[in-house]
Amino acid sequence: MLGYVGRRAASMLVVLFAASIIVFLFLHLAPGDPATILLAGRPTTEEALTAVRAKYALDQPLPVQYLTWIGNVLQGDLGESIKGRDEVLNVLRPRLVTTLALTAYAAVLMLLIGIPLGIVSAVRRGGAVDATASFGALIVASIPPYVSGVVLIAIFAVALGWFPALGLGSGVADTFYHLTLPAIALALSAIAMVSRVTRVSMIGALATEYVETARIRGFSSRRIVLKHALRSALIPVVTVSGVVVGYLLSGAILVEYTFGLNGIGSLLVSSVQGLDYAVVQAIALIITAEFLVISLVVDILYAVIDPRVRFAGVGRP
Amino acid sequence: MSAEQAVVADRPPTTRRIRMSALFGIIVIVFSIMVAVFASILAPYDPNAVDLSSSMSGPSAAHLLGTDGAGRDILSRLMFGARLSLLGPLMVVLAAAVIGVPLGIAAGYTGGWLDGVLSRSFDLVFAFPALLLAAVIVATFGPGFITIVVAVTVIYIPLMARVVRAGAIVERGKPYVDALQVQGFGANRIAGRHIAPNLAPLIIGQTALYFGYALLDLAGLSFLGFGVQPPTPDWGSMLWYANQAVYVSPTGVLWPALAIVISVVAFNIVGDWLVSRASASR
Repeated sequence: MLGYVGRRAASMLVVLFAASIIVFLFLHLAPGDPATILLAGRPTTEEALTAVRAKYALDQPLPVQYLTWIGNVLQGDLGESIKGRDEVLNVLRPRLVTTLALTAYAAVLMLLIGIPLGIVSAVRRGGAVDATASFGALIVASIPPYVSGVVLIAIFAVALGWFPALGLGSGVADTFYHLTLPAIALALSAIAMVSRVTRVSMIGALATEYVETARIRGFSSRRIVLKHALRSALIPVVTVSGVVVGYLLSGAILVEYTFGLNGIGSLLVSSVQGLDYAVVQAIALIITAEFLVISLVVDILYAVIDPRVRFAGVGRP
Repeated sequence: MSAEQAVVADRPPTTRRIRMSALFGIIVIVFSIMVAVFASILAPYDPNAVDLSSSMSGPSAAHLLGTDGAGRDILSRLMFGARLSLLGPLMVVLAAAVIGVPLGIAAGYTGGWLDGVLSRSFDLVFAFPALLLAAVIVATFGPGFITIVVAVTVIYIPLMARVVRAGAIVERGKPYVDALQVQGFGANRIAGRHIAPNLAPLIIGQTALYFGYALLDLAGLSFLGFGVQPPTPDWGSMLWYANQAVYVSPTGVLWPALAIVISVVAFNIVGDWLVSRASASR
């Protein structure tokens, strides 16, 4: 198990390294002097240019520049941001908490609604729930989070006044309340995906011989569905959920912007709008790292649920 | 329901139902393309004609869908907005096909080290969340329509290449390829003249699917202010503009939202139909 985790973590670090090189190289793809781009529209006096060139080692060969840049980032130096001169940690930590809370909230909604919906659709196939869920999934899967967010605001925040439209509120309960509408907007198409996968996988599991055996032995339907079929049916659901959580993380960028939440995503958007290249680079790395950590966690979960994965490549079938 | 019944009951939807929904999808697509092409004839107003005296008016005989915050006719803006909103995804899928299909065939048909190098580079693009890659590109080159089209194309090239690669691997194993090789035809000719045409139905189906996804991505980037800049009409930036005024006119966001979602549903239905037809005939 440890060896498996180690291999997955090592390949994650390789991908992160490659991703950081790509993010770094984009600076040199842009037309014009990298130093001017890094100054992001601030007055390009000769002193400012010299200072930026010295800081990022722009007169050195590319590998030296890369090491200088990544060294700065790892030490928490994300560039001379115009808006965020405060300590980087003070700016990023609360935002990271917001983004992770929103993503986690949406992931919980996705699992709590998507999996039961898929199970019911599979067990009562062709029934009212199944038909409604299938049709709904077709439409909802085509609704991106920024559209669902805007429409949810118009209906539930403005027309009905049930939820706040903007901001985070104060205190845990109030924040939870403020995050509800954004989390629904973010989770909507993910719920559709998870329920469809659960349904298909559950249908397969219900048709297996061991489920038939359990039926013949006279176990109750509830026990067969929840204890026998569900356990094996969950394996593909875990895989897909992992991919979908990564998708939630990038969808959170759009949702934070729509709902005016101060997360990592909305900082990315305002930095792109302000062409603050250094901050964009750093956030791109942070979100890619989150993305990779989530896939690592899913891989580990996968190995916990399905022992065959752990032993693959150790000479066992 | 017993397990056996369960298997029998899981018939795929009837072909008639699939054909009907595909027909609906095609009608919607043709309709939106016609609107985009003939916007200057069909639209009742100039999309940028500002009339502050009638700002945020509801639907009326003069303005069928009402006006936006600057008093511009929403229907006319939707019609003109269809142009860039549909042209963008068209450019993305064409570029993705022109670059991605040869790469995919090269990787799948040739195999070996070339396949290894190409597949690893595709994987690298997938390691990034798509929106992040787009954000980095926009931050580098500055916002604009062309920038976001390029940014989204970068993501769709490996997507297309990966599907084509899988198709090319299947084709490579078929007897006709052996027959051609025995006759002494070169790899370029076999790949270009025989494998590519056989993959065409699959590629066309994928293109329709990717058109829908690219439309969503581009509209999202314009919504964030990365793409089409106001006052140029475009569904994504219209949605952003309507959202700014949601407290005054909550219905304003519905029109661009509906335009985006209905066209994407149409492209998804048609794409699914084409892809399933392509895989059924193989």
